[in-house]
Amino acid sequence: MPRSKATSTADRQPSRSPTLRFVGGKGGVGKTTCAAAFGLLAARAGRSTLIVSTDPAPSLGDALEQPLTHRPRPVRGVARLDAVEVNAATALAAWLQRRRGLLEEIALRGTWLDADDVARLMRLSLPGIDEVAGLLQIAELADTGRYDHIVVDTAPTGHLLRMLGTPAVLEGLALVFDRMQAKHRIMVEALRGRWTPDAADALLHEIDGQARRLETLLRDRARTEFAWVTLPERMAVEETRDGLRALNEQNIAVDRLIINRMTPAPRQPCGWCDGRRSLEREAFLALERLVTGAVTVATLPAAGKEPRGMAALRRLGRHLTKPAARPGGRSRRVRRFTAVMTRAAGATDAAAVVPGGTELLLFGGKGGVGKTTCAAAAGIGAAISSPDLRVLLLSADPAHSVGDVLEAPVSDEPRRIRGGPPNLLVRELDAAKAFAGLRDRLADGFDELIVRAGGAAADQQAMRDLLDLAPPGVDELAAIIDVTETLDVKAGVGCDLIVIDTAPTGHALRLLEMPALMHDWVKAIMAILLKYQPAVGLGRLGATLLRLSQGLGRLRTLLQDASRTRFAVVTRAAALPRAETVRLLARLRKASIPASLVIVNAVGAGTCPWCRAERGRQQKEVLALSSELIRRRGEKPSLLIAPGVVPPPSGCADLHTFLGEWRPQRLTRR
Amino acid sequence: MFILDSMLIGGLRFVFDKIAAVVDTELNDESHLDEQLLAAGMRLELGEMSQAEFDSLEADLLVRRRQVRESRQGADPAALSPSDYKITGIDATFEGDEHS
Repeated sequence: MPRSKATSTADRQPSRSPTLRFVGGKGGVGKTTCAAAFGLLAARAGRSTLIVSTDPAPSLGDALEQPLTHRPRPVRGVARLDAVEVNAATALAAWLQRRRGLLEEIALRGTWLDADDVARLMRLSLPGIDEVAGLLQIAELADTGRYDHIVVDTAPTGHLLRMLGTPAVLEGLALVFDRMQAKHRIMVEALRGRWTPDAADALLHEIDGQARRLETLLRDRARTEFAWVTLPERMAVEETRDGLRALNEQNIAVDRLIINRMTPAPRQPCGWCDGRRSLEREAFLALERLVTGAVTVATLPAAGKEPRGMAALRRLGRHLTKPAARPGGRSRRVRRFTAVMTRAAGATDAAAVVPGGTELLLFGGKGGVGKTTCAAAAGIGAAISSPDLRVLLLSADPAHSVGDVLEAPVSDEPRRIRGGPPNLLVRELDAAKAFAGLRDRLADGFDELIVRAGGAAADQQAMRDLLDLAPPGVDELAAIIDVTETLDVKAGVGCDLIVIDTAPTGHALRLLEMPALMHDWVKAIMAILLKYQPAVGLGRLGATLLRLSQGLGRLRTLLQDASRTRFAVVTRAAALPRAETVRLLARLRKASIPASLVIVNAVGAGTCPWCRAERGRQQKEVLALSSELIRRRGEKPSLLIAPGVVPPPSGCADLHTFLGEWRPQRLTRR
Repeated sequence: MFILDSMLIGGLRFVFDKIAAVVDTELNDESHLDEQLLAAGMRLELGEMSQAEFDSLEADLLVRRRQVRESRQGADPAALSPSDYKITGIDATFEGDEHS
């Protein structure tokens, strides 16, 4: 690897507080590419710039074509530009390490736990705290004073909103520990007559201050700008509306709306390109209506090749700065058009996707590859081909879109879809609601034991505050345990097959890895409870914890059972999704979760020269992916090719047709 | 001396009553049996108890639970609760040279 001659901006003298540019949007819309292009623009304009990726499945290094680490390093060939991929686990460990001793001290002072109990709890991993750790590290990098500008490539929408909620989480943490410390203060005051603040108080003050600084920084419109990236698609309009509303509710203003991958005008008549351009024009107009005149709307053209490397990013940067011209033409109805695929052989059916005996079918992959569409098609296909099978199609993505794909209202209450098979129920998981039930049961259990131990109302409140700090993802997990329990129910609300549409890769992985982490927590609390059983008994808390532990155990077993669980990775025929697919397969193997299917979605294009070139590129990518799958040790997943369709498949009948268009692809070497 | 003795005996009787009640609760109180079963379930989850040990304990606790239910319905006179009996005297033997 050539050595870089660029000087790290981290080596230069501290300057003032930097400005921040957040780049957000649904998964797979091109946030990373836009963030990289923004970073390059700022550096070329003479500002010391840092690009930070907080995505748990980062691809910033792929876009910049160089490996990155969790420490800022110079971007090769560009002066004044550093990049870093935040590693949540490392960031959190570093933050906690400096404060662990004092936090343990406060917990000892303010609870009935002994040193062993406190140490045991503090040793456990904190699941799903990536967003908090990510923002803390950004704040620390901003505080170094070495950068004029920081560009943040954020995680997909649902999780971005949680990251922006970090100040509240920190304030909550300071509050819980302050309640514990308050008991110690009162005792010391009673014995000594007065209280002198000590190191523990200073730490609580520091955490509270950090929360307030972050709060101010995020909402300071003079220093913090927000770009929203989206695609010119009907479904993206809804997603953008929801995202902008959620940001607005958090008092965060978007100054730039970037509509990525607009199809260029074809040089000769092409049904595919014409159909796409017509739909994109509709979407552009709808997106433009969502924002006020103060927001700059920019468009980026669909690039034949994925924009990787400095030259491509520079070209994109030029588009980012200028307001877009409204696409011309007239609105017209677009008839269904299935893309022409270069190589397509054989036919597939629901049994290839959902073989008999499957109880859990998870769809995962990079954002924007069409997980929801594929999951919905598979659920419908399974229900139609096996009328006796009770199928539940479940969306576990915090940014739900299964209702949009099915063109039907969907809620947390499982319901049938008009025009759909009668044995198919659809549900969008309301994780917050499911977790609220568990949280209340836990809080009541703790209350009962605190009363038995002679504790005060303040102790009960501290425990409730602590439960409110449950990390993101625990809510989804609690909900999924509830849902998978229905697999064992043979009648009534039970079901035989659950098809889950998960959140984009990083967060889906976290969801799959979380049962083990949460199980450790539940077991640690059970062990502590058993230790104090002679004094306070087990109460309702014991029963709740035992049920939770058993549910987690059953879920972990189910997830690792290849005869009952299948994981379908959805991807696209392009380099970035392929790289992410290979990483996802490796992580699944590490978590002992069987990945049995890879679906390359939206393959093919039209017949114009641009489309023909595009089909050639896709074919190379499918072959490259096929080679990578062959190289894998152990059982190889089957590979399916799903065609691109204009307009994207939606509604039960169309999705069923779409499933019938999937084709098996034999694994071959390049 | 009489006052002292009767206070002593009364006190002892109180203590033994309490012990009998606690022993009875340990053996026969339904909620206590449930808690023992819950603790066993937790120990099984934590790997502190084998499935065979759990099964045997569970069977034992379920039998005792059934006996408690039956005794509450008057079907089993052998099972006693503190309200069913009264301590009428205590037979105490002292050894050593206290009175010598």
